[in-house]
Amino acid sequence: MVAVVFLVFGMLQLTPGDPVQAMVGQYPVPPEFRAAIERHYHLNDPFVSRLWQYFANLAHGDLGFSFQMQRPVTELILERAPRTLILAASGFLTGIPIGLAVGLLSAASQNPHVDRFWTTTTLIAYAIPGFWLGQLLVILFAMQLGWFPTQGMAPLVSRASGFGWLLERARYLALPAITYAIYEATRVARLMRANVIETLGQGYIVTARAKGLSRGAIVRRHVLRNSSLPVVTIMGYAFGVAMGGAVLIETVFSWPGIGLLLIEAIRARDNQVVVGVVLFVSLAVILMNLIVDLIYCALDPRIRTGS
Amino acid sequence: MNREPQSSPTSLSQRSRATSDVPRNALAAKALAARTFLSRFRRTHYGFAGFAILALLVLVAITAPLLAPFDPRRQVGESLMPPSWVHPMGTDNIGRDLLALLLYGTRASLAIGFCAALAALLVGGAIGALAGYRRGFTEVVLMRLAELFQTLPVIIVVLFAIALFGASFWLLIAAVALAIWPLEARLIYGQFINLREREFVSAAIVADLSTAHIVLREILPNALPPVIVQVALDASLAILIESGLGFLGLSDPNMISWGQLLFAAQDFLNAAWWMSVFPGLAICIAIIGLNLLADGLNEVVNPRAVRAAIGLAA
Amino acid sequence: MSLEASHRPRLLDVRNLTVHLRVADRILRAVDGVDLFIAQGECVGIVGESGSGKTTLARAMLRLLPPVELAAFSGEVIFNGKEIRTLPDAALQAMRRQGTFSMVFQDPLGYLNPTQRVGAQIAEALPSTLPAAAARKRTLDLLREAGLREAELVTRRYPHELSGGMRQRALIALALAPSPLLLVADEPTTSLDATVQLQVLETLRHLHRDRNMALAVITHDLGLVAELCDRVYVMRAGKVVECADVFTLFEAPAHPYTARLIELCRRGAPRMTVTADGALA
Repeated sequence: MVAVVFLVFGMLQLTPGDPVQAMVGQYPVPPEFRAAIERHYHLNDPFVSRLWQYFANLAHGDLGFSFQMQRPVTELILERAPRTLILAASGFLTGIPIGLAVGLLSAASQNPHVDRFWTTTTLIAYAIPGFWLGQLLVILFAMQLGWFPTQGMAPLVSRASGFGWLLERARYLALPAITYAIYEATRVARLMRANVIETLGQGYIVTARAKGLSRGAIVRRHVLRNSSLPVVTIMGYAFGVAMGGAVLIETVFSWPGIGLLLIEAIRARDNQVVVGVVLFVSLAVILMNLIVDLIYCALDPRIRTGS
Repeated sequence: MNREPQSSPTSLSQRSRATSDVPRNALAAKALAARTFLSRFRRTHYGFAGFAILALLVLVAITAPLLAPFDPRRQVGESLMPPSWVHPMGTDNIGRDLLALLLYGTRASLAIGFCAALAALLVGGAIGALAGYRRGFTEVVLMRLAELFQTLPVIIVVLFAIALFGASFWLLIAAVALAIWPLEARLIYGQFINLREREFVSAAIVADLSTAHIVLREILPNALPPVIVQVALDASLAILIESGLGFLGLSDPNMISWGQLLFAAQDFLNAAWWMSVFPGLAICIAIIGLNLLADGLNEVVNPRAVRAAIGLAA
Repeated sequence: MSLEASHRPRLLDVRNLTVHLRVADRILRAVDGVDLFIAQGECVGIVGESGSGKTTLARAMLRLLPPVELAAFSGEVIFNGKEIRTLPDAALQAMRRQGTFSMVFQDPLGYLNPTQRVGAQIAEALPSTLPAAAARKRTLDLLREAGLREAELVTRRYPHELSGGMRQRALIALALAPSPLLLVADEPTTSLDATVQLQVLETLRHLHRDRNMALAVITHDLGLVAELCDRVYVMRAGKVVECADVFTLFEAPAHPYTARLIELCRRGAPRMTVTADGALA
């Protein structure tokens, strides 16, 4: 039963890359390269054969060639991906627990002022664009206080090694990761608050009260897990999206990840790279969705038995 | 009969929700519904606050030429001057008055927000309604398409569209609408699926009323309330996207928008904090306004979803 | 009134209980000045149709109303000489754990946590000082006592994997875990099939007798009341309109509303709906 659900869902997501078709179909050729491209890359060939060729290359993991950077697109993406992964992972790993805690505190607190304080805070934080937050952090912590470097991933010349090297990298990572974490935390907090309120209205909370469990025990044993489950799904999806690089945050901090690659490619009208990045992102999203479904299955008994 | 709508508290609220879904066909009932809607909306304080913020922003956008102390496109002082009495928000890197820029920027940001949300509503609404009403093959194809678009991150879709077609004002709106229409489509689709099964729609079908009549007069009015909430959220999303694009330097270069001011600010973070702080604040205010408005509307439309703090008594 | 019952000491004494609930943006008086008592080992029925406030009354007595919905709560609720209404939370929790009173709810699926195994949920209601092995044995005993023969299997199941009757029994086992003196059962058979209804009714009867546990049955089903209860309270629009022992009630109802309820029940009309003014339709 579960397998069937899975297969259908997987098929649905993986149906022979409709986005691919749409993208490649509208592939415009930069005029300055027209002649060269036409000769070398058979662009005069009929559309269908080009599409076929692209698919064939895709099957070998070949996303084409970047004329701007004179390197294969796949290589560019693979070089950038780990950096985006580090940034996204550190942002998510700090942001999600904070968000869960804030959401829980906000919804389960007995003191209405606590809830009001946190809902107001999260609403304001929600309205702050991530890149502007980045700018503010740079102004405050990098420019005024000088605690962290403003941009990039590492110094141009570095003699540090071992632990010192790690520390140096961490200082570069800190501000973008904090920006990321705050951004994710607000979203998680809003979601979590709604979920906790929903859970608190459920009958089994009354049962738990009737058992004589203390407030803390109810929250720990019955509210926390049931309210966090839906957040797992959303955050899994968000992590897939994040593999496309938080374009804006990476730009603020000149963090050389996938997002910055996309922006550079768009500015340089390097469409092979643009298409490659978009494909990569959709692949990441689809993969993450699959992983999330697996995790969710493991966590929620209602789905596990497939009723 | 197994249920006890009045004595069990949870089902009570379900019941009140059910009654609010009752079709209002009679004119008098409609007027009454509109009045209670307004009065309930006014009672949700934050919804009203959001409305006030937006009204203020619209006013600023309309009267920008009167309010602005200087021409926003001309150099009116030295570059990078900190806030002073003459230039309350300072000047930018080419000596333009930031306050004037900000006031004019309201126009572009709001226009893009509203137009894109409206466009997304029309496109998504039409597609969602078609899929929800026709079912069958149309349904499968259209909803699969919506799902496909939702797989991709919004910002990536917009960037992709911009990369291919460029970024004039209308293309921007189209690109943003292209990215957010699935939200509307899925919402309206869900509403249609629900409403189609309702008695008053079946009655209309049995009575052999025209499809247009059924869709426009019977289903649509009842499907709209949650959609209004989504439109407000879409507008805030559109403003965020536009400011993001502006920040990346990919927005319409002939336009003054808050995001573009942040793009310029990025190179002068050290020298001129005001170039970043004020436009960012403006974006925040607009987003907060729209979200408050959406929250307020949501509470009116769906009272159960938003509840005051639930305590956890013994 | 049954002589026997009035001689026994009172376990629960409710005086002038009034409950206001917050519903959407209005405040409703759900329970309106109710006086009620339950003697030790007695079985009391609280009857009324939908919306008469009987569930709210039951929950208010045990202080189980959701705090958000509770707007005002006045009167006295005395259980074994202790005032429950004003009891601090910690003391109330202690009372519940020590097994003074328990409640069985109408919709057993919603009242069991969907993400935890049934066994764990029952064990949670046992004293935390109990060693694991003993807790496990107690859980199995409780499930068997609630009429589940395959107790072993049930402990390992999630609520959605059980049938409605099994869930209701699991919920009964859970309520029995702290060995309560009073069990309040809110529509214990309503959501079940007719044959299962009878079995659950039998189980409740046995528990009531074997444990000498007081039982309060909240229901709209007069048949159930006739089968099970010693004394009956009839509620309408938040008020108790009649209180009598079960024979008197059926022989000579004092209130016309009661008479109408009984007549409807005899005619085999299980469906009762309430019109806007609270009359039976």
